[in-house]
Amino acid sequence: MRRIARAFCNAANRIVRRSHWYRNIYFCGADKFWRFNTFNLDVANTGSNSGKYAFNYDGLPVKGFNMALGPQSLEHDFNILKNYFSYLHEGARIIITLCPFSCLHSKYGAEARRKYYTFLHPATIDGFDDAERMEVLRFMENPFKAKPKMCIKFVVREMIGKLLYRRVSEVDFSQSAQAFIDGWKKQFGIVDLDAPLSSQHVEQMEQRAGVLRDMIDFCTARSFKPILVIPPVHPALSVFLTEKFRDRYIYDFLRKVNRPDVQFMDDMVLPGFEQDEYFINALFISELGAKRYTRIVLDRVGLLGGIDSEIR
Amino acid sequence: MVVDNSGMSIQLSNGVTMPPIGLGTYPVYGEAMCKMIVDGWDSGYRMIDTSDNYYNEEDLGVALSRLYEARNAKRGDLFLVTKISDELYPVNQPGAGTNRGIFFWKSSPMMQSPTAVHDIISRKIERSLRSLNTEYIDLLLVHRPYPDYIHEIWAEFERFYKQGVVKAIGVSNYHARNIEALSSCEVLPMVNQIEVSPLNTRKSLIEYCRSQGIKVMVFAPIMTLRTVRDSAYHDMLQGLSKKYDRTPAQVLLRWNVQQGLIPIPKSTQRSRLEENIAIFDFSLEDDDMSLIDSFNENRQYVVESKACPGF
Ligand SMILES: NC(=O)c1ccc[n+]([C@@H]2O[C@H](COP(=O)([O-])OP(=O)(O)OC[C@H]3O[C@@H](n4cnc5c(N)ncnc54)[C@H](OP(=O)(O)O)[C@@H]3O)[C@@H](O)[C@H]2O)c1
Repeated sequence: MRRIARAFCNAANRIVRRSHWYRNIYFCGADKFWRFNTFNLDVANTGSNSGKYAFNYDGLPVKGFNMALGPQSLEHDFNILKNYFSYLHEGARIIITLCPFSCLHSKYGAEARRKYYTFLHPATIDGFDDAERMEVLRFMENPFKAKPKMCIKFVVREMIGKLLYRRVSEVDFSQSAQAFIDGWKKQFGIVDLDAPLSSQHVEQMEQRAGVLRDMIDFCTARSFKPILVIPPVHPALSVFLTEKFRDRYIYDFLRKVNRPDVQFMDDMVLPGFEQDEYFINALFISELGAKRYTRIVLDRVGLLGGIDSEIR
Repeated sequence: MVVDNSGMSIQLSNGVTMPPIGLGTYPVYGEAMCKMIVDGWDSGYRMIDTSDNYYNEEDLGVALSRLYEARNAKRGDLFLVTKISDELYPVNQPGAGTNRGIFFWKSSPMMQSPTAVHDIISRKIERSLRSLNTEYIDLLLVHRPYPDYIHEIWAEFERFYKQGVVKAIGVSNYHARNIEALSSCEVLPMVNQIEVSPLNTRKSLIEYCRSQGIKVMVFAPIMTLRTVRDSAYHDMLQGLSKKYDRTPAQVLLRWNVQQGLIPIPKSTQRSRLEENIAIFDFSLEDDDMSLIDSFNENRQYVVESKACPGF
């Protein structure tokens, strides 16, 4: 009887661990770090969701690692880099992905923290809590035993969802863009994106600029080459992000960072990269788009040795 | 069989001498420790490496008492190395053996007092002395280049060194950049204990240490025998093993000492202890040294940035 129960539990664990819910919702894709053990990387990128979706090194003649995870703050982009830089060889490129509001402070709940327990050193987890760590790691190792009801609920829901909704619905990019804009305005308390920043936001920008500066200096002190990148967004979204907005929220931010020697690629509006197929929504790039965009960036920094000169 | 390597001792920059090979002790506890220490002594080992976070200093202390009794050995015959470290998660917890982030990290509640570094190191040294049942430590190492307190920790090390409680001080897992951060200090590290293997030859760091008069001690010197899957690597070792009529472990350890490195292999098996120290009566030809070097991939067995982020 015991053996049957154990076999059942093991099988259930396997199903849960393979589920989209466990890997991508509960742990937000952190499982890519669990087995990662490739040394001598030529390139890695940091970032939150925009970095996570923008880069894909599969099939390229470079060793690359997409370290981005979402959602997360710039501080945690840095913390991941601090934990994983030993995998890069000297002189490797580190693509620091920025998004339209990287300069502001975004708050995330305890739920966003749990993924870090599975792959970061405790000293680099903001708000670290030993009891929480224990709970998360127990769930990670043995999900069905740790939270059977939750597993059944979400995995069954996922299975039913897969059966019922086979066809991917078309994305309405205008609606998606509007949703992002509304979400950001609410999240950061902004009424007019073109207006000057509030004093509170200016303060946050100063503090964030310090983090980004530290991140750049961290790379150069270890003989890595940092590159700042803003990946393309869908034209439906870029229309909202005017020159004025970009000057205030991005260029001013970088002026405060004050590392003019670091290469900066502002690709928010990238000619030739406007097609819908390159995006999954107005902000995030699709797998097809990521493969193309990664080639574009790596080609610019000379990592593809000119083999892709016709790609643009 | 006892290997006498007393004539081959290594001199540190402060004149202290140490044996050319040591005995690793992680993870060895209780009776196994007692047996290993006596077997190690009988085989010729005179240097023993431990650490506060191997949680076996007390067991080593008991083993040493037994050794002194059973073999008429004296404290002065041995060279004891220990380290000051962060805590590790215990074996019965998830993530066992990984760092806890309690000591020497600014974010830790344990580090909020202005005298935290001083207090913790003093307590740790006291404890090591008591556990090892000794009045001095031959070599004390900072286990990792904890980035938040690199200078403060070293200042404490200098203090204990000047007091004579520790005869020599050094670092572990430090890169040139971390050692350079200490260049304005009064006393420079005498030893850097690092991972070196044919898959991670560390040539430039070794060269840097040499240029600074720092001796390089090597942990996990034969771990690749267990962890590497690549058959070409094992074929190479087998080939050299046949050529020199030595075991692969001996080839690896000889490759270490022939570069002036000081390996600290661990084994709880008597025959292996003897095997690992019988490496001072043959040498590898230059071409074979280069052949071993050619397997370098900069592959770390213990990933440094995960163990000590931001170092
Ligand atoms: N400073 C640091 O950060 C750090 C990190 C890791 C380790 N260390 C220290 O370095 C010491 C050595 O490193 P390590 O123990 O990780 O690795 P190691 O000594 O290279 O390898 C130990 C492993 O090799 C086996 N072994 C020993 N002799 C052998 C032989 N002749 N043939 C085949 N296998 C053999 C041992 O098994 P048996 O015991 O069964 O023989 C054990 O599994 C540690 O014990 C510890 O004191 C320091």
